[in-house]
Amino acid sequence: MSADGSERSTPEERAQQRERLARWLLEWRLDQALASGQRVTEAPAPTDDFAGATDAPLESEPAPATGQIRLLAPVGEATAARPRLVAVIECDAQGRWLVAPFGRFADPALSGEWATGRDQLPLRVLCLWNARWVGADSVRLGWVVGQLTPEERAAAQAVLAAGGDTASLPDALRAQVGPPLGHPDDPRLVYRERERVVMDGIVREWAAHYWINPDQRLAAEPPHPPYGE
Amino acid sequence: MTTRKPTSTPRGRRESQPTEPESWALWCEWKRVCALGGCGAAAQTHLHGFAHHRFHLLARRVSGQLVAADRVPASVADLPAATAWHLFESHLEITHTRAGKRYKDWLFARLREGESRPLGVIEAGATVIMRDVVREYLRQTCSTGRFSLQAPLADGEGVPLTLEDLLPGGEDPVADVARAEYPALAARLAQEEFATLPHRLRVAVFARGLGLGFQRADVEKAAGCRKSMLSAGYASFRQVLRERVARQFADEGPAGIADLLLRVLQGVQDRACLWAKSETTCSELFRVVEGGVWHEC
Repeated sequence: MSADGSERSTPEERAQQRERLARWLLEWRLDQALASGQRVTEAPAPTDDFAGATDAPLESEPAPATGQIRLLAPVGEATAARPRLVAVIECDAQGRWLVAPFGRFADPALSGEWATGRDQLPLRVLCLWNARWVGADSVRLGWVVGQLTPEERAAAQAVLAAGGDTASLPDALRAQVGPPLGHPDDPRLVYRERERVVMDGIVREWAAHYWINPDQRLAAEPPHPPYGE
Repeated sequence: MTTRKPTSTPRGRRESQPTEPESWALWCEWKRVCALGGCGAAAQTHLHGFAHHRFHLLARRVSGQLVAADRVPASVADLPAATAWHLFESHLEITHTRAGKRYKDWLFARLREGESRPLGVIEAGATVIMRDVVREYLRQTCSTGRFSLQAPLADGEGVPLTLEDLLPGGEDPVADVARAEYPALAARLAQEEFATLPHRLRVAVFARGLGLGFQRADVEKAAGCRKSMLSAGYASFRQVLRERVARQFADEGPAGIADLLLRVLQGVQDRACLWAKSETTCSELFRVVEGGVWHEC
């Protein structure tokens, strides 16, 4: 396996990977060119008075459920800097939820990113490598905007389980993930590091939000009946 | 009585521009109505103009920075205002329902109570979205032709890489059994290397991992030294690491050495990032990444 865990690929697969990488690198160059230069926007400073100035209060959103696609509410700098969407992949026995962010680009950059095949621009690539386990309260900090199909959820879980070892994926799914990493100066390393830091920041914001606004936290369990009843 | 400021439109006609409160009201009208097509003429004119201005401002910035191979088509300059707005309005649309247009709620939810200049916040957020719109538009229209495996990729510092460098083809000579040990070998070496790094080089590794240039004032401040010392130190670190891996794993062949070098470097960067999280000197660098703003200091 190469550095990102992927097996050797066939010449046809390699050709497809190169095309995909060439497209991704173009989009990366465009993105860097757009982001450089003078500051054109400022993310609002995080405060403790997130009012959710919207006619779609988060309290009205459905409870977390597997397969949901959520647009994250701007509760802090990372979530206010740009719109970000996540998919709710699964729930574990401890009641934690695995969420994975959707990518900004049209093509998957890494073998842990999966091209969903969807037409909606924000939902084309799911970044499973950057998935995180979070509490239900954190998942609630976003509006439900869509739903993964059962097939999509199964594909996402398969890519997650593969952990970068694309040889273990079915052929069709392997063709939908990004190219492997193979060079220490690959720009995708910078992309990956930045996206990881961003997701770290988002998870931190979620935790901080409830520390600042404890009254917004969901009850962990339904209240117990009085002793003896 | 409101005062209107006469101003030139992109087509040279002098028209009155709404005041800030009026502009804010027009954005609010759009927020209430499902799509701009259902808004009044004033809202349509104003928001079309906003989209047109932002689209072309951003597209011009890009065209000045791309290499010749990534040609920005001339048609970009002629993109009508209504098209620029349509691209904006549909970019984050999941479905044609209110739930599918929650990006509007995201935009307005960025406002804090008591915000003194709500228009600025809304337009800033809309500009962030427009950046992605422009990127997507140019991605679809840029004429790159067939890619070349050996053409240098215009990605800045150091020896230009090619597509073939990033994804070499041909047979992989390294045995699967030997490769199974690479993660553990690389992790141990990364740990040893990181332990020897002084503060400034840890910052350099962390910053470079995020693609932050050493000339940035916030990077120099975090490292406690100037760009020249950081650049020299980082180059030396990379060279020493390359030589060490090549020497220690000479039996693995060029492909194995390259693989191990990548793993070790990733390992050192991972440790640098973890270390930086507990370093107050690096906190600003995290904010730069999380905020998504890359202005060069």
